[in-house]
Amino acid sequence: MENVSLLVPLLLAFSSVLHCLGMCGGIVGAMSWHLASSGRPWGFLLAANAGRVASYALAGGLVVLFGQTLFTTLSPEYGHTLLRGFAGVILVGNGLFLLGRLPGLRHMEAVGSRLWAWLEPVARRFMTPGTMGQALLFGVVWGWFPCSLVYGALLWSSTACSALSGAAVMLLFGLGTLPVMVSAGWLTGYLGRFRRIGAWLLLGIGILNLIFLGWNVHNPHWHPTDNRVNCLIPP
Amino acid sequence: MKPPQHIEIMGDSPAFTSVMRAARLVAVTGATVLIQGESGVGKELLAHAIHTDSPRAKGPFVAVNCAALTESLVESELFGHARGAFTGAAQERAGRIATAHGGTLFLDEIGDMPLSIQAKLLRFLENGECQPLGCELPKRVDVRVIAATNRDLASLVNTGRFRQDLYYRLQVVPLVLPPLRDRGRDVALLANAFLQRFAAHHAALCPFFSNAALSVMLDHPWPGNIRELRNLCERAVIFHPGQEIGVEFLHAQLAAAISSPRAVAITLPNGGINLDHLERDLILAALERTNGNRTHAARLLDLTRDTLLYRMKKHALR
Repeated sequence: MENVSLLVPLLLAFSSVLHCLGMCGGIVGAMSWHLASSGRPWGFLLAANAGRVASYALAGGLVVLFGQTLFTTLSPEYGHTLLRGFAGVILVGNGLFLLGRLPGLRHMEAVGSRLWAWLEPVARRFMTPGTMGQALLFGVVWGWFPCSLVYGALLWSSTACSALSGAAVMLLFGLGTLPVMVSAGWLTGYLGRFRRIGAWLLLGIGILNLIFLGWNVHNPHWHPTDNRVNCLIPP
Repeated sequence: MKPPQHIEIMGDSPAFTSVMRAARLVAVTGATVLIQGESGVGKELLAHAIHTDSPRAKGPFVAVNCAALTESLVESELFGHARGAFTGAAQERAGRIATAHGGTLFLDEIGDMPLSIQAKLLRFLENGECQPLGCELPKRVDVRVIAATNRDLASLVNTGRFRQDLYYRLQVVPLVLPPLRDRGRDVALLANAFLQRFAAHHAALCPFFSNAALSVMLDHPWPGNIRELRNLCERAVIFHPGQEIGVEFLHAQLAAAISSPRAVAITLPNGGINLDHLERDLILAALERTNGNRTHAARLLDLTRDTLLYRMKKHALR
């Protein structure tokens, strides 16, 4: 499962190439245009993206603390099993969303819209950064831009075995989005070819995960704690 | 971005709000924006909102409909001309680009711009210089460009009808406005806002839609998008002031759009038409709308897939 833990956030990131370009791609385009026309170095763009990925990692750690508390409170013995089932459902949901079969998943964006209403003035203030620090700060705020795919990855990271694992999952997800964001589109054509394959793989992994979970539950030698998933960094 | 003054760019569906969030951020930069979306989704109003929310808000907002300009006029219209530049040019005239100096130039229906003008527009986008017809020296202008189209520019590039370099130059910030049918609950929100606006405009009592009518509206495909909804609401205010609008009214109003997708208004021009070219254009349009999916394109044209393939071969279309 650890290998899958590595694979899933990267698949999520690569499969969301068109969605990323439609939303954050415009923000990157506008910032790149500003940097080019004002003669500022392209390092600003990297700083903004580093800030964005750092925010993802922080959010990943926070949701694990919340997710684990929730599931182990719901059922101290079967918390991990519930978590694994939840992880499978999330992967299936993400796969279907990326294949355009579950548009309702976008309603998750409402979760972050209140926070964004509060952060937006800061983002607008630093959208045209004058210093490297402002670019980084913009990125940190940009990381909280409401996005259903980020939330999909966060839901997956919420099933991680530790807060550090959750942060690592989101760090991988963020790094996976970098090629599209930093190349400002020229890698899109290449990565776009793998978009549907990635979505189908996520769907497949999610379904396999649920099948194995069902099989495990009926295995007499199985113990509930065997169902730890998403354990990049053990607690 | 300030709260929208126009109902047409109101909404709280996820598909719409995410575009508006991105628009609010990019407004503060001077980057070129390309707004894509079906006819009637509010592209020009979004462009105007970006302008009024940008540091250029005090400058002019100049809108040009590229589809409405003939090839012979478009160059002079955009770039202006010197006195005596061509027959009939009795006065020097500043083009739309120069008029937009310090503000925003909105190029609507950019996909319909003639290829010859695309090259000149590209030069302007690259170096910010505009050369009026008949002038030897170009003039430097400070203009932000927002372009819009309801066509798939990538497909037009593939078929050689739009310059690839111009496409990339315009595509700095792509914003895609969703069609009304994908905006779910926004239909009810917009409908109520339109009813109130038209009731005030016509000094009439405001009618309201029944729940059953709202369900019908949610299921309607809205091929004319917000424009279609706005017109429907104005008719509702005129014909049923202060009353409940039921499904009967809606069925009567929407029947044409729902039941007769073949009712396309094609008028035979006085000079006649080349039927082969028309067939080729319709096939290309269907392929463009379905992102090249031949099965779906055939369905749009009410053909079998084999017939479509045969006709594509006939017109040497890949």
